[in-house]
Amino acid sequence: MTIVIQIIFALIAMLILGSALMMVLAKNVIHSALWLIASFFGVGALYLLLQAEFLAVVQVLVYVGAISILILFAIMLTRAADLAGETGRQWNNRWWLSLAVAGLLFGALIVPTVIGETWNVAPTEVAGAAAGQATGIAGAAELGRGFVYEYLLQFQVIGVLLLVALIGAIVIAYDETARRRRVLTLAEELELKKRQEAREAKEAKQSRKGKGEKPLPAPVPTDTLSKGNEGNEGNEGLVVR
Amino acid sequence: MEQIQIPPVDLAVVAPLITVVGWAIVLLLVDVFFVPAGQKRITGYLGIAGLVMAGAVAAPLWGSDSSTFGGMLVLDNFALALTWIFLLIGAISMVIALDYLPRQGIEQGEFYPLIMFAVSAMMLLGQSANLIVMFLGIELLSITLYILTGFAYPRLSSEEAAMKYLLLGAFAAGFFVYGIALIYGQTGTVQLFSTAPGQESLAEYLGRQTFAAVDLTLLLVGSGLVLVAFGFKVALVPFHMWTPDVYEGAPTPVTAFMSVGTKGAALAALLRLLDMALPSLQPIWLPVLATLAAVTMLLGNLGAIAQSNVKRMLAYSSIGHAGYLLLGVMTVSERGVQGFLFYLLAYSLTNLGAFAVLIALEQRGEAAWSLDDFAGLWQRQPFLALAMAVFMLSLAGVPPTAGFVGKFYVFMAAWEGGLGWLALVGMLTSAIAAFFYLRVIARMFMQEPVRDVQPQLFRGLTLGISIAAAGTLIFGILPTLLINVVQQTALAVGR
Amino acid sequence: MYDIVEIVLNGWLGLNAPEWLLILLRHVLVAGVLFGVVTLQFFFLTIYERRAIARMQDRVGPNRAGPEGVFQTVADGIKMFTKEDIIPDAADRWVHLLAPCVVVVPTMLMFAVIPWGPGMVPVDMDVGLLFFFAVSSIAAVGLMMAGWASNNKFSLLGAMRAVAQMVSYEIPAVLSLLAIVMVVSTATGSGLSIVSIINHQAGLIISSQEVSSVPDLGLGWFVFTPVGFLAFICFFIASLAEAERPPFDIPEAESELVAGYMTEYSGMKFGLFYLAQFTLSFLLCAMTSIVFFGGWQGPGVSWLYNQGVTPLNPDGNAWMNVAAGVLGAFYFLLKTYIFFFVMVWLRGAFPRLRVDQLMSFGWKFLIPLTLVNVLSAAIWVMLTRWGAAQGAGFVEALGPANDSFARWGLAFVLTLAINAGAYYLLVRANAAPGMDEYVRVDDELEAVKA
Repeated sequence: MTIVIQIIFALIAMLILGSALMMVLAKNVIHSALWLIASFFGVGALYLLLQAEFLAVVQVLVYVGAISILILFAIMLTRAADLAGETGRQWNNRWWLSLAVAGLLFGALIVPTVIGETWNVAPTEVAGAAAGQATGIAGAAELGRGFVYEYLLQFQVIGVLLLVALIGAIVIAYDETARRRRVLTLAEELELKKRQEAREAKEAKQSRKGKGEKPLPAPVPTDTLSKGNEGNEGNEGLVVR
Repeated sequence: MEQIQIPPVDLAVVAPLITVVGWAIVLLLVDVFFVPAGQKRITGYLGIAGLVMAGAVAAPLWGSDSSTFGGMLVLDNFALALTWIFLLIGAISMVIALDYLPRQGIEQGEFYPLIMFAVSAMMLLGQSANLIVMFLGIELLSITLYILTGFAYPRLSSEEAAMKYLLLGAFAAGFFVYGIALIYGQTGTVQLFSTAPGQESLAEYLGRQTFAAVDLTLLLVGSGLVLVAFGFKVALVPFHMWTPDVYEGAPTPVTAFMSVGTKGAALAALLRLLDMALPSLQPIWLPVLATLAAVTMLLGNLGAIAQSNVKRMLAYSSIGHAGYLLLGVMTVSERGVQGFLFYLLAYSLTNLGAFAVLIALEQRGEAAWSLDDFAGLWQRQPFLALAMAVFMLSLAGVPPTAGFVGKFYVFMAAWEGGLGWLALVGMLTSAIAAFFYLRVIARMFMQEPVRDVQPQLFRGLTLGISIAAAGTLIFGILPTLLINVVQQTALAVGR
Repeated sequence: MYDIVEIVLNGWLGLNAPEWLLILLRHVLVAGVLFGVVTLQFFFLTIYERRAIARMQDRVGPNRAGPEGVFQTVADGIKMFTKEDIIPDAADRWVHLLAPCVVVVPTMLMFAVIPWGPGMVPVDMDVGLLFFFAVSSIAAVGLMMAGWASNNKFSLLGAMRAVAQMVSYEIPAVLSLLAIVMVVSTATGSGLSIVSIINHQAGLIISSQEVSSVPDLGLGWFVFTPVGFLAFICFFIASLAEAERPPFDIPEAESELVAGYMTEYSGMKFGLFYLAQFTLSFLLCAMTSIVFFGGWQGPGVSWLYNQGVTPLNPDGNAWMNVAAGVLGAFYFLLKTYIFFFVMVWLRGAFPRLRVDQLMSFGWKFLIPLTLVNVLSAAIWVMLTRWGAAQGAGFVEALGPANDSFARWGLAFVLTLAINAGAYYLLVRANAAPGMDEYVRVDDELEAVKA
């Protein structure tokens, strides 16, 4: 029986790692997303092998069914050039740097976890000590009980967190007619800037003629459109561009 | 079929927290159904009332030392003092936003409840004694701040700032979770310290070990990752790249709020983690943190010199101040904790005030943040110029202000903790910092105006600036008022 | 099934096969049987739908191939197989090829948790209901692949619409089932298991799990309670949208999008999409009948089953098992076909919705209604099951938990009032705005432009 399980594990692990690798190497960004989904699926299978049925099903429901769809939508709605498969490589000239950092992190994080055999995990014992109730957390019923007993606080805080995220999505995405009237769109902003520059040029011409006192120029907007021409020359290295 | 039990909860411990969260949720509904569009400042008044109410609810709890939810949340004087500081930060941020939002055309009632949610997250961080709760607090705070940063949505800079903040913040969250996983892997617990006899916790686990006997690699790597995540949130130097752009792009009241709030909350959580869970590992983490603090103070202040945009300058200076705050955190001593609290309050008042002055200068849609815009402010708006002078002096740490006392306190803590060189670095960088703070003052008082800036002062803004300036001066001249309170926050360090 | 495999291999043939091989063979056998059944279902449902819709439209429908046209689907299948398989030049070949498979395989997998009769379930998973929905959501990936790989704007638009619709309507579907899961979970501790949901529905109008003195006629269906009734309506509407049945067939609206994501498919690949659609419709009808109408529950089934060989009664009469299975499967398929008929009926009766109507109906009407229903379910559970131990001592005055008509009646009236009130309020809130409102918004927009 063990040998069968090990063979199955090897197959699943190969599926996960292979599709993860293909995800990084694929030239087309949609293909990358599809390989990622395959990888998610493999993780679900791994949970099933660990007899964590609930976790496996939730993995499929959340990652394969929802998050991957979100990723595909996001790609399709933003990267028109990639959709046609026209951009060649997914990596840039600094790929060796990313490789080095990734390798370093892998070495620093995974190696000690694999080599150090000091895992001290006794979830049933610890949870039981905290709440006087010894249950392993694996099935739906145990999870549900944990949510309203031992982890009530976390459960509530996550509720608030999701509420905030929901409000945020609405606040940022909701385009009220009344709001549109007061806030300038990008085109209007550019138009405004053009007019302003024209006026300034005119004033400059007038002052060169030497007639009258020079009026004070308007303050320079430090918005993104004009950023870079003031303030941060001396420390480009410190600023994320 | 086993019946579900209702867990025992000590409501007193969570009373301020529940007040803020509950009020915010109700306020959301009130705002949608009862407050007419265009008069959203009513929501702001109600929000401020809620924060004041929470402060009042917290008052009778002073002196208690209890915990609930199986020890995940604690309430001691340290947490309570933090709670009041955070409530004050939230209230002042709302006051200075009252006029800012309609003037910028981004008035939406959700702003005020969101600030309240952020305040509640900060309070949660101050009270948490559990890594998971800490993580949730940081996430709640971060998500709220992503939204608030992008609140001026159609404005490109705001959008860009929110995006940058979100990407780096998500990265930091990943570090935090991975760190927790490794810590749990080694110790089997995520509780920082035991609140009841027999409860397993990190402090308990470390107390049982002797260094030579056990391989602590996992715990150390995990703590390192958690530290990286905190570094991102607090903007310590190798992880500070996002700060100037995000602070510049965000709406100014939000910048004011997060420049003091996030730092305070995250550092308070870090303080609990280091001082109460891992004090026995101090020989290992102290050199790392001391280096971080030194680099942070140096680079933050050097970066600020190069700025001619005052908002960016304040962003860099806030990086530097994170370094000073870190001094109080890493000396595992009562003096350090007290210094941290004092410095946090002084810095909060000062920085909120400085950003409020920026708001006054900011005209509709166009920012007037360059040094030239400050020239001759004394002649146009003497009140603003005087207030700004007080804030700049306090940030620089010049004697009659609260900033001086705070700096004195943390440097003394560092000195007593055997970190004399770090205190020296702190003094040196303060001297550097004085250059660019005093430059602003010089521009305001000794130059003629060069740009046509019309500062606008509304009642709310005047009130906010006055409170901040008065606080800065009073706590600077009579620090004993505050020190007496702070000294009662005896956190059982190294328990 | 495991026993049979063991008897045949180790007993009759004396092969001494290891345990894992027996388990594997057992599952392969069940899967093989199921594949046959699924194909037959597909053949039957196609002809059923075509004849029924023809009758509604005053036509005759296909009646040439075989008696009354029963072999029409076989003829269609042969046609599909022999047609040329066209892959567009600009298509992404591999993704184009894989997409139909990714759509069909999940629908086949979903049969793994469907019980056909008492004791007749391929796999009785603890989280069967969740498995059903998790697997069904994989199909959305396949649709997206099909739409994108075809490199055709109709395909892509169709796929986008299909996925948006599936994702949106999954929420009310799952929320309406959540109410049922809450009720069953409190009773048995494993409300996500489909078998325990069916077992809960024994009784007569009132479930015998809630009032134990009710006779067990297999008629204690959820649809007879206010919570279950509302959940049933919402779930059925949501499943219409999930299966892209009219009036929710926006993704393949012929008049706008040719055939949606299937536009660039021909031959057997097209056939596979077709198969997946019909199978999904069947499965959702089956799920409706299982969760709200008791599945195989019906008069006589549990009596027959109790006479047969069961874990409790190992020396019963095996023929009684067969009889119970046949009767149970008959009830189950009868209910399922009735729901499928309703689907066909709706197709004949209603015009297609617009995309915005679809979205606002889902988000502004169905989701709030199902959320209220979850609250009702909580009240139902409290009134029928709780006692002083849960801090609800006041209901104990009416009678003991799980055996009191008074408590059941109070729960019925209260949840009915809540659900009806929520329905009324939502209908009012979603009523079309008057002409004044349109004029006002128009004026505002004009002002913005000027």
